[in-house]
Amino acid sequence: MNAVLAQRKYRLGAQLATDTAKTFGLWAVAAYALLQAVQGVLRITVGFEGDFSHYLFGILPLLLLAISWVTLLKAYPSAIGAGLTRREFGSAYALFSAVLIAAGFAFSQLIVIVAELTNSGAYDGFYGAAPIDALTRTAVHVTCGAAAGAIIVRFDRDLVKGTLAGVLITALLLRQIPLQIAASAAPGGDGDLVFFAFPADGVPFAQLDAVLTVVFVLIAWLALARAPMPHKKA
Amino acid sequence: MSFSATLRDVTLKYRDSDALADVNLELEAGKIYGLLGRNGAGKTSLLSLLAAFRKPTSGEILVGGEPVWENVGIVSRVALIREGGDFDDSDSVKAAIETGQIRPGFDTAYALKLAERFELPLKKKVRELSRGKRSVLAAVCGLAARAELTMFDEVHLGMDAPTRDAFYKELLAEYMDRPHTVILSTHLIDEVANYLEEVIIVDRGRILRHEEVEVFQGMGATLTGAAAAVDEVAAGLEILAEQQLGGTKSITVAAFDPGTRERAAAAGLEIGPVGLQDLFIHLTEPSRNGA
Repeated sequence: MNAVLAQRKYRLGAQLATDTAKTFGLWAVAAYALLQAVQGVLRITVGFEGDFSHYLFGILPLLLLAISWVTLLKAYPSAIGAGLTRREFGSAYALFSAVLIAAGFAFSQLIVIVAELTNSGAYDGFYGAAPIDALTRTAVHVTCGAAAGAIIVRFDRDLVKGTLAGVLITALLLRQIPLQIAASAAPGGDGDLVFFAFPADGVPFAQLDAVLTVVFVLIAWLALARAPMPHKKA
Repeated sequence: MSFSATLRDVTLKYRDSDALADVNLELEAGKIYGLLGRNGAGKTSLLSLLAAFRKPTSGEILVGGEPVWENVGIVSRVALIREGGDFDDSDSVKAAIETGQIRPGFDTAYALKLAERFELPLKKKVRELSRGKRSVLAAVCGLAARAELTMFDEVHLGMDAPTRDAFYKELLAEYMDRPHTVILSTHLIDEVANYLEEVIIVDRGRILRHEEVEVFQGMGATLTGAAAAVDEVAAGLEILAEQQLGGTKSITVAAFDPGTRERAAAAGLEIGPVGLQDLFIHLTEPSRNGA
């Protein structure tokens, strides 16, 4: 295999990352900067004490999930149509995912740092402020988006694809519930009464998300391994 | 260098139905093939397997003598251009062309030259193109891929007649300049007949015929004349079709040997060639194949 062939999966991964940075990345950073600027002015002029960036902190993982899903669905047909193998595409997508996870981690930590500097508490009540949590929270959402996208292309003509993708996302969003129920039934637990709140106390999210990340990566890899080129309507 | 292609006992199922069933096919390298078949016959499925767009349910597919599935060295030099191309619609035309650079043989300068010749607006988004222009973009990317096996699946749809003619000529020029294997899947049979060296007819998931064009052309003849004389000459021949208007009859016959030709000439019948399209229509008629 010549050098051009050997390098092309990395070029594709870098290109996907660059394209996302130029669009979603720039929009997110610009929106956040504008928000902070406006809030800064309000703090000085009218003594405003709130911080609307807690909305961003809360939905950031879901945004990353959506970006990961949409990027896979858009990039897969172009890549296979241009003569890439699924293994090459998987490698390219892994590189892109790694960059997306790093960017998501950095962005959530930026929100935390700014919130601490301004003493606004933008991340109060949210899971993912600590660096290890920020990393696993970002990783599990990005890989869930990739797994859901891979399921959609794998079961191209099968109606079950939507259900399977939905199951993955539901499993992610409700991931703490089995642990909470298990904890309540355990000796010293709350017995029959379980209060569901997110994030729940006592649920080891970082470990759970790390395990789920591995599961989602495996699902995405296995789904892509035999995924057909999406069917084109005549 | 150009790729040969081999399908051995290939079956492709979509749920319970066979898109292709026990297909065996040998395509020599360096020829232009026509792939003909009625709607749903299995043409696109066959091309998809050759391009590793999907995996067969069973059987073996070799391109250039090697298994094509997940073979980087092969799939990077195989191009299947589907109707409208496989582009990211949010890309500009120029960006869509540049996507092809992921292929080692892609010739960007040639693609841009063709884009100029076919008046493709480089700055427009792909989603803003008309159906015809989108087809042109797909064809341009297919030609510029400089692949060893290039397949065009109904890529001409939406192109106007002059554009189709220009595309066929460019395809032939590129083929003469750089011999490679080409497969054209089309319903516009007579339009491409002159460019083809061999024809494969797919019917209900099976290879119905695979012959050189000359063999198809020699498969029959159209005899026209007085009904009685036509019936006399055609007696015992396989009749593909017949039409009668008053006392004049026209029949299309298969297996037109020299002896029959002499008898037809002696009976004063007009002997005409069988067009590829006519032959295709007759060969794939449901009543001929037990449908």
